[in-house]
Amino acid sequence: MSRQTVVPFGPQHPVLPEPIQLKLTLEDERIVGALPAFGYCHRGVEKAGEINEYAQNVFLVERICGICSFIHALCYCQGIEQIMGVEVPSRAKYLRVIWSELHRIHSHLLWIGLLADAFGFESLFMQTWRYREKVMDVLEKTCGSRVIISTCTIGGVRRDISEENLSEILSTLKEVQGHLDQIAHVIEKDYTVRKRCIGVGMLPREQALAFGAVGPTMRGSGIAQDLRMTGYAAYGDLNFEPVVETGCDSYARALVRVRECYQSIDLVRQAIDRMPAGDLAVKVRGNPNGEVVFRVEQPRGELIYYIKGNGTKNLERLRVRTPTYANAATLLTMLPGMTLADVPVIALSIDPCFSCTER
Amino acid sequence: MPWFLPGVLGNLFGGPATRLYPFQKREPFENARGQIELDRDNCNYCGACSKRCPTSAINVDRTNKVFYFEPFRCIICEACIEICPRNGIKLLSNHRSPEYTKETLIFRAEDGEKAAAASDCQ
Repeated sequence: MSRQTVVPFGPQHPVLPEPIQLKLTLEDERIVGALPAFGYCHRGVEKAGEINEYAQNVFLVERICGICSFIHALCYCQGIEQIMGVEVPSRAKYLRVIWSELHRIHSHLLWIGLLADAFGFESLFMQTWRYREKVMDVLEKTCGSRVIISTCTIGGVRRDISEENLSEILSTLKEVQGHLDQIAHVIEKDYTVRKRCIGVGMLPREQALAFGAVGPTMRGSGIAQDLRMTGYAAYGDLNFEPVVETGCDSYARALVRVRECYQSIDLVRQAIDRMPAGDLAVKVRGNPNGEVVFRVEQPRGELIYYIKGNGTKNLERLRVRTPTYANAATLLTMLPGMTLADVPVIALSIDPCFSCTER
Repeated sequence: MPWFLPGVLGNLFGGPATRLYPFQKREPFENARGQIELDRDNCNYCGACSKRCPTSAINVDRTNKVFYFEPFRCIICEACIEICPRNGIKLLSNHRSPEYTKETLIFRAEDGEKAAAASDCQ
């Protein structure tokens, strides 16, 4: 048996901008054990959620994650609406879908860029992020901000999208789809991408189920599970199927995300096509009294909010479980047997967000 | 990689993708959330905005009619603008410039137009 060495990967690492430490046990270049260590980014958001008023928490939960801020707010608002029995206007539901899917597109484009950066494919990284800016500009134009868009509120949405801006969203998505064709071609055909991703970070279907993987990590292992199929917001009125790949490796997870970009573009088109006119929000009176568990599909997977209200304006408990918390455990089975150079690709293949996870 | 060729040629002949900031600034979008500003003509110092503000960036002394605003606490969520019954707070689309100190802006009803900057809000 050769000598074992423990190499710390992070918490500061050029590939992974977020603070996680992976204690890697190596035999030469081969990984034989991996232990993730969390806790570098704890901000006390859940406690703050009990101190603030429940209506103010919408602005707080958006700040849990910068990439999918709207979807955090959506999950929180839908949970509170379910407790209080609030029926959201139809137009607001469709607007929620449009902004959620725009977030999914830019999150996946960001991830494709980061994956390319992880194995040194800088031109793909730069191009992908450049095209992502088109989506960010659309978000800024329709919401007023690029990242924390603050358009979701309890009872509906706070801003409308004008006809002019809706047609601009469609033209931008057409342009992004053209660029996405190029990116998808590179991901599918390029020698470097295939060499660095195929067979790397295997997560068989049984292991994915055993570890409770969620989102594209799970769908890359052949399990067709997508919480949007539960029909929250206006997803129940739209036609789509979960994107599934059966390769079980990092390459399959990349393909799932590329195909989900196309799916999201299609969903935005469907939502714009079917969106009715009407009110944006209903007036919500009173305080939440009761508890709820609400689940939505983030770009990274299943997001769960547990909300408990006691009839006052402050919540008794706010609990958030983010998809990276579920997916990080899969690293324990994906990393052993791989080489040290594969760690960035495997760690990124679950699209980790530790600011979300540690809150 | 022939499939990247249109992008490469576009980059070669299309000029730089970035701007020479701060010499060349981007025009903000219409209704962009840049900063908020007190409209003293409309404000009656009722304090509704300060109760709604999620970051306590606004504090109002109703008795003496003083409006305290800490711009570096403000997250420009527009909650104050939505709650104000008299359109006393305006949204500006340009962003506030960086500063060395975090100052509290104090607006007194008796001061007229000029706002005084005082006391750090560390």
